[in-house]
Formats: sequence, structure tokens, C-alpha cells
Amino acid sequence: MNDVNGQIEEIGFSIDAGLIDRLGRELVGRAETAVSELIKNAYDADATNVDVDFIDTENSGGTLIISDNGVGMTKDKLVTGFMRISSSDKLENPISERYHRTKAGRKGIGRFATQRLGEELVIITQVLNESLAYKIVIEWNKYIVNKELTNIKFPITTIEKQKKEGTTIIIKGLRESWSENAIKRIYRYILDLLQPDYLQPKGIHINNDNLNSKKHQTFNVRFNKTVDSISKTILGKSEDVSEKALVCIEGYFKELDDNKGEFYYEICSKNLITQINDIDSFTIADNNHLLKNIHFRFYYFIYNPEHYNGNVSKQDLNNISKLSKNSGRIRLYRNGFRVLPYGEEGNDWLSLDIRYSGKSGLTNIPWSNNNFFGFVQITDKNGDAFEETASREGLIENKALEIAIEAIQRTLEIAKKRISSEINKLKTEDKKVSSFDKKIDDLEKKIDKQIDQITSFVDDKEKGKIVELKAKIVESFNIVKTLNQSLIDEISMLRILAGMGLTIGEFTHEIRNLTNSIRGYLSPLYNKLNDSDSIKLLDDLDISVSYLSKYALNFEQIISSNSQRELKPLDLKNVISQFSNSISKDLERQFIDFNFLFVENEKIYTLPMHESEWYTILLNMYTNSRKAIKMSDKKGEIKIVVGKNDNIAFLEFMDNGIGIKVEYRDRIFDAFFTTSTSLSENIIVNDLVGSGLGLKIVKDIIESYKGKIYIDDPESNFSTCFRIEIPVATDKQLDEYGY
Amino acid sequence: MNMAIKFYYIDDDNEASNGYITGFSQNDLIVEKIEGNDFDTIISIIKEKKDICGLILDHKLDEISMSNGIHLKFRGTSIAQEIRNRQVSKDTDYNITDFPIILLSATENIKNSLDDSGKDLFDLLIIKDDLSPKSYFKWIVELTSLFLAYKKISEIKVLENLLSVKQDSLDFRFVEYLSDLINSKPVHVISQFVFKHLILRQGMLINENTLAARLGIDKENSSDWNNVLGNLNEAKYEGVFSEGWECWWMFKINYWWSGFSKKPLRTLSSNERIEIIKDKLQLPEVKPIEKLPMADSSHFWTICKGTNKPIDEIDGLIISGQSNLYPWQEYEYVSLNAAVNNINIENWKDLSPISKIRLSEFQ
Repeated sequence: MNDVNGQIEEIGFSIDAGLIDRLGRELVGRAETAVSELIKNAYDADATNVDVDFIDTENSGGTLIISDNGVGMTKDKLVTGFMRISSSDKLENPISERYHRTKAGRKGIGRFATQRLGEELVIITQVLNESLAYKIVIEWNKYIVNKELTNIKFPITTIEKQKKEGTTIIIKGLRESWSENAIKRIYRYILDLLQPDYLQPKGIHINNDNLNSKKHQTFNVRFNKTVDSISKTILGKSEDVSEKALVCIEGYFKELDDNKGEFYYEICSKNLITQINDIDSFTIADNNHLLKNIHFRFYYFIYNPEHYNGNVSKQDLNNISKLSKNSGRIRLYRNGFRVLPYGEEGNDWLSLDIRYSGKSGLTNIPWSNNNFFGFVQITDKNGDAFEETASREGLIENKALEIAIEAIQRTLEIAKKRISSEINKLKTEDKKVSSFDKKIDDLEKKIDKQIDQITSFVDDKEKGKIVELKAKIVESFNIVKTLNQSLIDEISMLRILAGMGLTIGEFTHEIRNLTNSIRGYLSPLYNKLNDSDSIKLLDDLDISVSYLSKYALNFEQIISSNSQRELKPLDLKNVISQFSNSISKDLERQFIDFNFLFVENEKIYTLPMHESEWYTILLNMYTNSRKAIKMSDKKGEIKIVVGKNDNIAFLEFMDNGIGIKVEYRDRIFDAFFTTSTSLSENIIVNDLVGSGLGLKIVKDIIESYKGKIYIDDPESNFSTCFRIEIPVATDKQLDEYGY
Repeated sequence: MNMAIKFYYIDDDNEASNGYITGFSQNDLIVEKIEGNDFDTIISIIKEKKDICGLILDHKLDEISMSNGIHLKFRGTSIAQEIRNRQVSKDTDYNITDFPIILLSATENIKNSLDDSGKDLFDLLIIKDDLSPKSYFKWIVELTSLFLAYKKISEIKVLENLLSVKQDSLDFRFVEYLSDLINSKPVHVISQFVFKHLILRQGMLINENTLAARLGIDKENSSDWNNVLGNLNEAKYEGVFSEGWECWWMFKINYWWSGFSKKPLRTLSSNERIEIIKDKLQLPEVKPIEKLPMADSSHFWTICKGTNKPIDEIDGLIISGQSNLYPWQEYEYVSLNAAVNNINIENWKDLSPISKIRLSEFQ
């Protein structure tokens, strides 16, 4: 210190050499990142080919050689670039010389990646228009604590050119061992680093120069493993699943005049059974300009072949599903290179998994990270909008990133709704389409195939039996199909009848009121007309009208008892009594004698039943008897006998009509069996009245209550007898219902 | 009756109501429709009608839109309740004159769905199915009779005049009860009491069916039945409601019979009764009553509500719902046959608990 002459001593920062170690080992966390930085450097050097060799790396101490055919470095570049920590070179030259690539490596710590990887670094570099190459050998061990950084120097020598141009980095004394799997892993990682596909700009005014253009994406990386001088190339390629995707979702910015524009999205089906082809746009207020550099494409998968057209098999989907764990998910690429950790397993930068698990079943299609293969391409020409963090592991969370995520999430929401609605449409249509019929067909085909397979390894003499078997199976299937068809017919007929019933119910009340009021008009006529002929006419008129009202009353009673949904034990005598009341007018008109006989004196209660169903049963029997009597030209007689045997109540319904032919007896309870001939010209009436469903419905009702109905021998004087058996109510049931 | 009697009619269904009105508007009865868009309007219209003799209400007023498209939101029972309230009130601004109210309903179920207080609102319940062209003449007589009863009761507050009978002949508890009503209650309360508990209920008065049963005569098959009745004019009831409902004083029948025989009717069989009547009245064409199946006794006294045929009470089962009869009222029965076979069960519904036990023992 010299203070007498006024000279002030100057002092500056010195750097402890231990910093190198820190920068290398601690800042570059992972080996993969280290290797990727070196490869990025090669990219920035306009290389089109990079060879990465792992030599004798089974144990630590091996050698890694990264050799590229980039532009190489001049001595000057070496000194001012490579050998200068935190050089501003990349700041000043963010675009590569030759191909004008946006430089991938930026922070200038690539060199320390080498320190991270191994103990010694040898650089050999040559440029096109120089005749010699430069070689530097750096021993990282020399950078120890307590030494001044800038004092540690290494020789720089010139040697013969090894190639036209390019740089070779040799890292010796690798700190870790590298097995083949580890190398494969890194290789895949590197592949992943590279944007798999180039997305064409879709804007109108976008400066269509060289940003990420295809030409400049020629960048091949090859990994080799050498053990005891035997070399082997590690193979692997990026899996391209795009062709098998269900739906493709793309988003991009389209610029209009003076810096304004909108963010467009496209949702297009690729292998979905139905078509989606949506294109639309949105803006994000105040921040639209930040969207300019975003372009993304996602391929969406559901790992269930159900919704796919024929191009994608279950096997395909299984493979892709396995892939999705490693090379799936949505990744982020900046200037052509992957930015971690976005899209890695466990990373949910778009909050897909959170949203999916939180949502209720409204949009019920799977929508998590594993369902997507895709990437977001960020073009950052000057590297100013998006910045990687120092460790190159993530982008700094700034506004641009935030807006980008917002745009992506918005697009995904829209896509989710769209796809979900399409799939739901499919599902409901599926229910109609994949009816039992289709299932039968599918099953039949399956069995066919299996039989064919069996046939192929069976001797000739057995083959005959197999053919027989197959024929029998076909027959069985045909039977099933026929049954199915008749069930379908029956159901649709029942639906029609039910619909009719409901409609009738609506109007019976009005009908009754009106018919009753007609009789009021008739009343004064009795005063005005006193000749007996007129009186007779009036009487007849009144009879007709009152029948009309009575018939309508029958309907109304059924409807009102139908609306009581409860089951209760029914007193059979009550049931018959009410029924006979309701048909009394009709019996008169048809001149049918009606009798009922109760064999027992005590009350007979059926098990809990629905009241109106007895009406259906008895009315049906009655209608059939009526028809039979009409066709017989005899004076009709109907008799009901009710009794009980142990715990089974029976009801025999007999008539003296034309009877049922013996050969029909088994079939009359079948759906659509009818012997009704035309009762009227009205075809619609025919179809329903002679619908052939009546007895089937009756049988169904009775059997649903564990009862039976069958044809029995009638008493003498009668020709047809239906016998219905129904269990009686147990004492417990009677108690329950308060009897 | 020469004076025209005016009943008013309220219904939501225009088409149908014209038919009913036509039927009712005969033989000195005029029925006219009242229309209003809401409750208050209808009530005030009724209040304004000075010539109102009675009101016929359709039960379901709320089913159809009326001609002006308006849909009423209340039922006949609501109108009836409001009117009865006003008929009780002494406030002249609020008060409405007392007149009979008839409920017109489409279904039998109304009897079930109206509770007791609901039924008290109405003097008569008519089921639309029962409105045959010829029946209107009967209904008209009945409606008229109701009006005349109301008129007489409102004008004459003397029991003997109202019933045209000496009150000493009557059950004293009845006289006491009715006198009390006459002194303090509005017309419709008095009227309904007499109608429902004297006229309609067998006891001091009996109807034609019961009369025939007690005389032992099968009235359907006896061509001289009307002649027998002719002999009983002195026993006929002439008080209020007699125009619409024919009844006879049982005590007067007994008195008449005592002129024929020392043995009371009750103690004689049908055949025995017939013989005396044939003899005393010189009417040959009177046939005895045949017992119903499962009946033992020929000492017919009441009517089986199921078959509508005569039975002896011994052969009958008491119907449910009769635990609160007045002392002068008799029980109603169904025959064993009807009970066992559920004949016309809608008319009697159920048996009393004791009867049920008896029935199960029998079975």
C-alpha cells in the first residue's frame, strides 16, 4: 500500500479455482443434461451429424467422445469463446453462422458439462478454411481449491486436421459408469430433446425466414458403444404414434394486420369413428402478442379400441399405452430443443391430471397426461420471451409462459368438451346399434374362428365331426336370433299398446262427462213425444248412450287403479264381483249368460298383486270367450269357478264358444299367435284387437306372480276352460297388509 | 206447484253442462248457469241472486278451461263451504240466504273422498252416471222437495208443523234434539238433520222397500201392492221432504196393523202376514217373500243392502260405520249371502267388527 504519493492501491476479485468444480458438478445436475448441452453446442455450431461414442464405459473411468461436423472453432473462437467462462458470445450471436439456427445452448456453461462428466477434457477443433486443427487438453483436477482460477493454464497445440470441419470433444476418466441401458437411456433422452416434428407456421404475415425451418432440422445424432474395441450402434428412434391417434389437436397464432391476431385451434378426428373438424379462434385480452410464438400439436388417445375405426387395433393401443409412459405426454420445445422437465413423468405443467381427477363425471372421457403425445413448439428468435433457468431445467416462470399455458389449457378444454360430446353421442348410438343382434353376430364370428382354429389341428377323420358341430352351432344361433327378433317385435307392440292406453286414459273422463250430458238432452223429449214408438226410440237411444258411458267408466276404473302402484292381497270374490259388474252391460248386449261359483265359503286372498292386473287377465279371457261365442252361433254361456287347493287359489274361466283346436293348445300363449279373422275393415283395429299378445301378456302377468295358466278340461256344456292358479297370501302377508 | 223454482248451476265444462241443464230444466224447475272467472266473483254473483232456490255444483271445477279460457283453481266443495259460512252468519253484508246445495260428481269415489264435514256441506249427492233421461223427472221432484223443505223450515219454526205429526208420537230424544236445532241453528242445519237422520234412515219413518218387507209382501211380484199402499195413506208421512221421498210412520203402521191382529207384525212370518192382509184387505195378489239363500228366518224386517232384498235382522250382518247412530235409528244390514259373495259391496263396503267375527265363524 502506497499512500505517500497519493497512489491508491487497486484490488479486484480473484477467483478460486474451486469454482470450476462447483459450476460443473453442482450446476449441471444430471449427466443427461451435461451430454445434451454438448450436443446442443454441436447444433449451435451448425453440425448436421453428431457421433457420440461411449468407450469402455462399463466401469467408471471410461471415455466419451462427441464428434460433430459443425463449423468448428478458430483459435480466436477457442480463446474468446470456449475458454472464456460466461462469455457474451451467445448473447451477441444468438443465431448460428451458417444455418441461422436459433442457438439452443445459451448460458455458456456447456464447457462445464464436460467437467461434470469426466476428469479430463480434450478438445480438437478445426474450421473449414484453415489447414490445421487445434487441440487443448484440460485436466479438471488441476482446478482445486485455493488456487487462482486464471492461473491454471493448459497447452494449446496445433495438429493435423482430422476432418474438414467440426469439433471433437473427448472426455476421459468418466466419473460414472455407463451401461448399455444407461447409454440407451441417454440416447432416447437426446432424441427426445429434439423436436420430433417441425410445425409449419400457419400465420399470414409471419416472417417466414429460417426459424426452425426444416432445412435446419437436419441434425442427426448417433450413439455408439465400444467395448474392447468392438463397436455397436445404439439404435432407437422416436416413435411416431401420430397416425394412430384418435384426435389431433393443434393450436397456432395467426397474425393479422399491425401486430394483431388471434390464436387459432383445430380439432380434427384422425381415427375416430365419427368426424370432427373444428377450426376456431380466441384471443387472450391484453396479452395476445405473447401468443405469437406458440405452436402446438397434440395427439389424443383413449386406450380402448371401442371408439376407433378399423385402422387401430387393440394391440396398437397397448403398445402406445406403454410408450406413453416414456415418450408420451406433452413436451415443450424451445427453438427445436426440449425443455425439461415439462412433460416428464410426474410433471403436470398443464394441470391435466389435476383437472381430470377433480372433475365430476360430466365430461367423462379420460383426459390425463398419459392420454397425450404431443409438443409445444416455442419459437424464441432472440431468446428474450422465454428464458431457460440457469440449470437449463425449466423456463423461467414469466408472463409469456403463463399466457402460453393459458392458451394451451383453453384449447384443451374446448377439445375435451368437443370430443366428449362426440363420444357420448357414439355411446348412446352404440346402445341402439350394438343391440343384442350385433352381439350375437360377433359371438357367432368368434366361435366360427375358434372352430376353424381347432379344425386346423385335428385329423381328417375328426374334421367331419367338427363340421357337424359347426352346423349345429349355426342352427342354435339362428334360433337365438329368431327369438330375439320376436322379443323385439313384442316389445314394440307392447309399447304401442301402452301408448294407446295412456292416451285413452287422458280422454275417458271427458268422454264420460259428455255422454252423460247427452242423456240430459234426451230427457225433455220424453215429455214432448208421447207416442210409444218415439218413446221406444228414446229408450234405445238412452241405452246406447249409457253403454258408452259404462264402457268409458271401465277404462277410467282401470286407469285409476293402475295409478295405484301398490301390491296388496286381493280378495278373489271381490275381484270377480267387480269385474262382472263392469261387463254386465256388455253381457246383456251379447246375450251371454254369466255365472260365477265360489267353491269355498271362506275368503280367498291372492298373494300381494296389483289390482288392475286381474282386470287385464279377466278382460282378456272375456274378450276371447266373446269372440269364440260369436263364431259358434250359440247362445253364449260363461262360467267362472273359484276355489282353493292347499295354498293355491284357482280360477277356471269357461265358455261354450267354438273351442280351441288341439294342435293350437300349446301355442296360444305364444306372442303373436292369433286365429282372429278380420273383424272389421279397419286394419289398425285388427292389428291391435287381434294382436295376439293378449294371452301372452296374461301368461306373463300370472307367471310373474309364480302362478300358472293352462288349458284344462271344461265342464260339460262348455267347450273351453282356462285354469289359472295363483298362490294365496300367507298369514304373514295378510298381517302385513292389515287383513 | 205453479211457481217456478230456480236453481243455479256451476260447472267448468260448457259442453256437458248444457246437457245437464237441459235435463234439469223441466216441469217447473229452471236451472241456470252461473259463470265467473274466480272465486270471489262467483260468490258475489250468487249473493246477488235474489231468486235462488238452490245451487248445483259440479265437483271438479278445476279441470277444464271455461269458454273464456280461464281455468278455475278450486272445487265445488270450496264454494259450498263459503256459502254455508255465509248462511250461518248474521252479518247482512256477508250473509247469503239459506238454500240447498247439490253436488254433482262424475264418480262414486266422491263418497269416499269427501270426509264427514265435506258431506255435511251438501244436501244431496248426484252421480252423473245416474242421470238417465227418465231419472231427471225424479231428480226434479227431489230438488223441488229440497227447496220446499228449506222454505218451510225458514218460515215455520214449529216441529209439529214441519213434520205434520204430533210430537208425542215421536221418540222424545228426537223431539228434544230437533227442537233445540230449530231454535238455534240455521236452516240448512235443521234441514240436513231431518233429511239425513229421519227421512233417509229407517227408524221412525220407513221407505217402501222396508214397508213391504215388514208386511211380508214381495212387492215386485204382487200386482196388488199398490192397492195395499192405497190402504196405508193415513200412515203416510206428509211433512217436509215428503214430495221427494215417500215414507210411512212406523208407529202408524203398527197402529193400523193392530186393527187387523193382536200379534205384532214382528212376531209373524211372511206367510202369516200375507194371510191376514189378503183377508183383511181383500187383495188376493200379494205374494210372500222368499228367503235369501243362507237365510233362516221368514220374519222379514229389514233390507239387505247388498241384494236389496228383505231379511230378518237375525240373518243379517251389521255394516260398519254405525257406531254413532241416534237412538231412534235402526241398523243397516247385509245378508250372509251378500257378505260371503261380496254382492254389491260398493253399497255397504264393510262389516262391523263383530259381524266379521260372526262371518268367519260361519265360514
